[in-house]
Amino acid sequence: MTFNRFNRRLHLYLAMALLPWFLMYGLSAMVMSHRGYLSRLIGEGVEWTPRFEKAYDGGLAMDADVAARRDFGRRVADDHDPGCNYRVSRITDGRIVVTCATFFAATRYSYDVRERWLTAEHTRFDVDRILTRMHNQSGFQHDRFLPDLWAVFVDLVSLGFLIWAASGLYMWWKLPGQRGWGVVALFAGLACFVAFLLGL
Amino acid sequence: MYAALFLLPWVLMYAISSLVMNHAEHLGGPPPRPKFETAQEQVWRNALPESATPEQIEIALMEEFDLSGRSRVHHDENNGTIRIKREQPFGIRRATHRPATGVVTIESAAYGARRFLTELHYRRGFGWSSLQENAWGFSVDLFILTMLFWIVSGLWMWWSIRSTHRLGFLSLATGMMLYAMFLFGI
Repeated sequence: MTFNRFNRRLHLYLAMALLPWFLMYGLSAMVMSHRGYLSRLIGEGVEWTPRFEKAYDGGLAMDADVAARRDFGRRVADDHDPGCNYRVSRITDGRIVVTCATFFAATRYSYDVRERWLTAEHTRFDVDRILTRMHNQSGFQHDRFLPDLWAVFVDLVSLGFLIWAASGLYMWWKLPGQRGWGVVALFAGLACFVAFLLGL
Repeated sequence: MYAALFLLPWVLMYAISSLVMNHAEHLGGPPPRPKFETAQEQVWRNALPESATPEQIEIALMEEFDLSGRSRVHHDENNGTIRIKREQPFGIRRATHRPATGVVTIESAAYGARRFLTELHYRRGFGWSSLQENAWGFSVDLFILTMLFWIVSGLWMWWSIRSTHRLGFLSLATGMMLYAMFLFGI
């Protein structure tokens, strides 16, 4: 196989394999770009339905550091929603929030540190929020395998963009008839981008 | 192809910034907050009447100190201080007007490379007072629509090359199965 052929096939098959991610990032970016308009159209905010409230000994101090807050989050998650993908907030006004979320729904555990009182609420997301959650899901800071593996795919998609750019440039250069207009398009884009950077 | 060549800077910016944001943990947490340095401090002489409202002062400040565009305004109702934060791609300019003394302080803070990429990644949307800012929002939409078009045109091109059908199907099916696994597993 020649390099030219290898390059074309890589360009194609990489795009095919990562197509669901490209589609998701495209649609969710459109939603995020027009969030204000969408909010006016379909309403704003998420409605939380109470699930329970109870006394809970979280063993958390008001000045708990990041590690202690994380331990607390893990304990709440293990006690109520084992294996969930959770996030922990800071302690604000004596309250800390642990959110267990999938792409489709979330349960919010709000804990009053002084009163040792735990309140749980649940919500289901609309399509626009599902897309936004997928778009924002990233990073390797999770305790679970799948969210961290998702982060590997975020890297793959980002690298996919870079590989596409490089392989696309190579393919364009192999078409001498397209070079003239290609150079015009490339420099026009570059000039617009620099103009934005300096003018924004 | 020409759309891809034109949008190449956006492709590179989104790809590199996504990598940086995805590895925040490995890079020592979120990008550091920008540090402000005083660039200018002066008594502001203006033609506003004594009874000028905070909104009128805000508009005059923006015009005088070139702060219109992507700006956020904070009014302190206790002492009448107005603070305007102008977000630019390479950093922030901040103007603070204290009506008691009439002094305006201009501070600026430069972004590091990580913050620059992150801020550019988040920059989008419409409804700003400046044409450039709305034009950037349009360029982001153009990039998104082109990306969706690439998916459709790419599928069409793949289908027109018969010899790639089998491996193409395999790639597509593998990607979709993996995505479904994440969708219901996370």
